[in-house]
Amino acid sequence: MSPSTIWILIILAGLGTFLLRLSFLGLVAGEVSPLVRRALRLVPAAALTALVIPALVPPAGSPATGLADWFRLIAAVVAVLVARRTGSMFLTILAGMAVVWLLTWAT
Amino acid sequence: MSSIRQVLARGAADVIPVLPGIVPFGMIAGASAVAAGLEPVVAQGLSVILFAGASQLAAAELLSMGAAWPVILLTILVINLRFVMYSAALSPYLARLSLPAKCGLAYLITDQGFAVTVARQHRQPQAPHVAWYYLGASLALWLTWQLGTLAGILVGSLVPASWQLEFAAPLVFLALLVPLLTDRGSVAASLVAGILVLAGRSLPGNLGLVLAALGGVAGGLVAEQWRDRVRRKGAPS
Repeated sequence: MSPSTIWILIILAGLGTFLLRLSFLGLVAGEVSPLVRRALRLVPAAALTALVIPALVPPAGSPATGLADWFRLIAAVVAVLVARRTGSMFLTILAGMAVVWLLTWAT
Repeated sequence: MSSIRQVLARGAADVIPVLPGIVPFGMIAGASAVAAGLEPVVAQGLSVILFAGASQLAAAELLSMGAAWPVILLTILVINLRFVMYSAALSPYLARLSLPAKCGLAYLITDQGFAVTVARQHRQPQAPHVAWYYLGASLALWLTWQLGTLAGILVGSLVPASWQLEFAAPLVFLALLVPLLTDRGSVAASLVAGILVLAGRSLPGNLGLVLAALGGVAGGLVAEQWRDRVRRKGAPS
């Protein structure tokens, strides 16, 4: 992607995000309908899962499906447990990274 | 009656507990943007213009995967759809402000700034100067976020590849995701999105990601609908 394309992308994304933020503060009156509110509430859980899963599960049918391909999934399971227990962003990242480093180092 | 300056400072003070989570998040967003091939100025520009961490990190991830730009744009906007909810919830408190003031405060909307402001008004419905409280909280978050991404941009390129820093991005997503999975609708949305994203992996330009997110929302709505129907029949939930 060329530098100018990236700037255009950033500006469009920024403008769109700004309009989402301004929506009910300055663009539209009234309230969010109950169905839309329910849908909006579910967006972060769905979007974050769609972002995280491909980074953890190695592509099916890839030539090298060795043990090392599963290190990140194992580390993610540990990170989820730490996140549930501590609720700490920092400790979650640290735990996940530590497991990957340890598994890489041990094999 | 507390002065405007005191309320502003109180807002800033009330977000201090979340700042230790914002700093590593910001650093990883900055480092990921540089690792995706963005010039440092562009990476910081992304952070200032978007000011929305999860979507910045997603943009960096998709750029490094070579995703098509319309898909990147769409993904960013889907992740930031939740701001509509915050905009609606904040509007009664900020209704009397001028449009320029509303624009400034809208730009500053974040999960954390929204959360502390609504929590304060819930505790003390008559608490004065809501806009100033929200501004104090938001400015503290903005400054911390920008300094965090700047630090990540400067330090990120020095980290050796053997540290596998690129794995920090999915870990951030997990840390944001786990606290959301507290009810049937969210769990269903997450499960459906996870299955769909694996099924749609071969779609061009990472389009599968957006479709999986939207499919997950639909799945979550269906699960909630189903639960409500069971409840109305009087069966145990």
